[in-house]
Amino acid sequence: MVKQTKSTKNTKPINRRISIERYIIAGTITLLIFALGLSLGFVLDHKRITWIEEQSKAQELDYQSLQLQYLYLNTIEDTEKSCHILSNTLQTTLITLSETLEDLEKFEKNTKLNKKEYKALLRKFTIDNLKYWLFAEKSKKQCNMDAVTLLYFFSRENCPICPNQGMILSYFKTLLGEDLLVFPIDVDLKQTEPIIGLLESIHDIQLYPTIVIEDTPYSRVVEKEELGKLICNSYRTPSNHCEEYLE
Amino acid sequence: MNFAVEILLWVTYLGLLYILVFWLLSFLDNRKHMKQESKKRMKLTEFPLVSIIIPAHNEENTITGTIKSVLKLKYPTNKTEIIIVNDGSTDHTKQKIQETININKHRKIIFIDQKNQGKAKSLNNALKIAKGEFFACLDADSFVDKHTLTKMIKFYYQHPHLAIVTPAMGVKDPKTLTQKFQRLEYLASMFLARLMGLLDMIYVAPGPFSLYRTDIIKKLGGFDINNLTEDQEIAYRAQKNHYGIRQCHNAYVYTTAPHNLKGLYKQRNRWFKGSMINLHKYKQIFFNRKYGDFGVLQLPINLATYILSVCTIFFFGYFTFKPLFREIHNLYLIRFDFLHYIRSIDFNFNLLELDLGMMFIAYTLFFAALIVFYLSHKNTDEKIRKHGIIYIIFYFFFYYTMLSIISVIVLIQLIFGVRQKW
Repeated sequence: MVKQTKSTKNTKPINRRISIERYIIAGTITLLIFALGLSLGFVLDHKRITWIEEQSKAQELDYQSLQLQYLYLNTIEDTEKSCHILSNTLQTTLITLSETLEDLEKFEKNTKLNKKEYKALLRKFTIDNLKYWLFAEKSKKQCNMDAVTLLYFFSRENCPICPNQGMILSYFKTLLGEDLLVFPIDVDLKQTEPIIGLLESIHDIQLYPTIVIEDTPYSRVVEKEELGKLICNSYRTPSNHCEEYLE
Repeated sequence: MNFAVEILLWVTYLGLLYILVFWLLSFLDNRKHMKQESKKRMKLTEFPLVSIIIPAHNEENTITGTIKSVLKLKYPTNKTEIIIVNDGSTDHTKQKIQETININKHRKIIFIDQKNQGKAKSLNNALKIAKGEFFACLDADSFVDKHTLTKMIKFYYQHPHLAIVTPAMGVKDPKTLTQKFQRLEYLASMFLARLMGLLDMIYVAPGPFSLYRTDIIKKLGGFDINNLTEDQEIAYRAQKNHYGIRQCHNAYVYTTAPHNLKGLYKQRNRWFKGSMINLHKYKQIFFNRKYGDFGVLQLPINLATYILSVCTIFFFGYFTFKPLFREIHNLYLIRFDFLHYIRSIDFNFNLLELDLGMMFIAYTLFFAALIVFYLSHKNTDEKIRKHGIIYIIFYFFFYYTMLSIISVIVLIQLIFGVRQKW
């Protein structure tokens, strides 16, 4: 280092200041923007719930329509044409139900405050799923449908591997379309929905994920090849997509 | 999104937003003053002696140009002394210096040829013999505008309390992508340094042509020879002793920025490491009211920059690699049946799926950054689209992520005690 000299000529120490006013204004503006963002989130949460409730009402009507069709089948006469219409309506309703359930799950991830309302909606959709499952089972027999019904027990809170099974199931749903009817059941709602516990004890389910194909439970992740075999073996007349799994 | 990640993201956004809002408010408060300062005209009646020190180590490609730019300065030649230090160069730097001296024998040029001792030591050696009331350092890869010195001396006379005046530093002829990014970065730094100066918050006196009061720097003990970023350390030391530092916003100096990523990494590694070491060295200034805004805000911001860098990298990984790995894993689960994978992608977009609350904060932050970006260009009368819009997009979305990666590497190196090789 250079040897120090004694003094400076013109330079004085600067008068330090703290821009406290500016700190406060900057903090207030930041908090205002933060509050605006939060409020926007809450408004959106409300919109989401309203939207889901509207979807739910529409599905309620769909279900009533299905019940009416089923009643018609039982009361009048079992015709091939009526069964075909029933099957189509069931398919469309299930697709809408599954899409709404997906939206609901996405919304629930983004929600900040309305967790309880989302839980209630999730419970409602699980009940709907089970109603449709029972309906599908009845219709299968009544109309002699060659479709596979599959119950998928999963937990969103305590099962990190469940999404893997979900992915494989989505793959088969895309592949087989209306010939595969998947009914997801969120076991985290067991406490509030006793039917879930009942179904679990009937099928002796202790691990997740578990899928139940034609009354037989398969626990842990069932890989693509094995699941393909299980599903395809359940058809009376397997489709072309099943060739790969039945060899 | 995981709750902890969400909280971290909110804190990061709000922290950045607070800093940007603070700077924008500072700009609004000082707008008139800055305008007046730009218009102010002054004629110098006396020209103090200025020593210009050029330390050089292996700068054979640029040294001649650097010296020439100093020789062309519009300042009385009898009032400047040029001290060139060849710091043990192993290339042809020494020959180039001697050639230039021989051509300009009529000018007062002092040549010190020494064994390699580092930049700070070179500056100190030159300072020992410097006779100027002021001295300027000029890195041997930088070029000074011919009016810069006069403007800086005028600035000193307008603000006699100052100890250091820094220039407005730009990038010399940016050609490569890396250099064009740095040009944008330097423009923003110029604007912020001007604001910092108004609040006595400047924490670095850039190597290229910062002008010092010789007696004060000598009083402070010269440059710290053990510091990686001696230009920052001297600014911290001046601030610690309550000496004023301001930027002369229209005194331009241009530096040769690293032209590729390797060069940029090497430079920033040194800067970041030096900066972290200085933050530790001057930790007593942190939140110390005695140092005004410099202690209460600027130093915490400097530290927060590194914390935010770590957060940026974490979020970059979290929002890029995590979904990427998940999709690859999903593909593996269906044994890479791409056709059905694409069919299963849900293309239905629902606005309600978006986290608009978080997005509102993010977009406000982006908007505030754009305003600072615009003001930075206006500050130097540069055109925003000078090099095309594509650089700006990449600058905003990738350049800072890249710098964050470097600072995280530096942080890891410091934690594990990896030594600086140059």
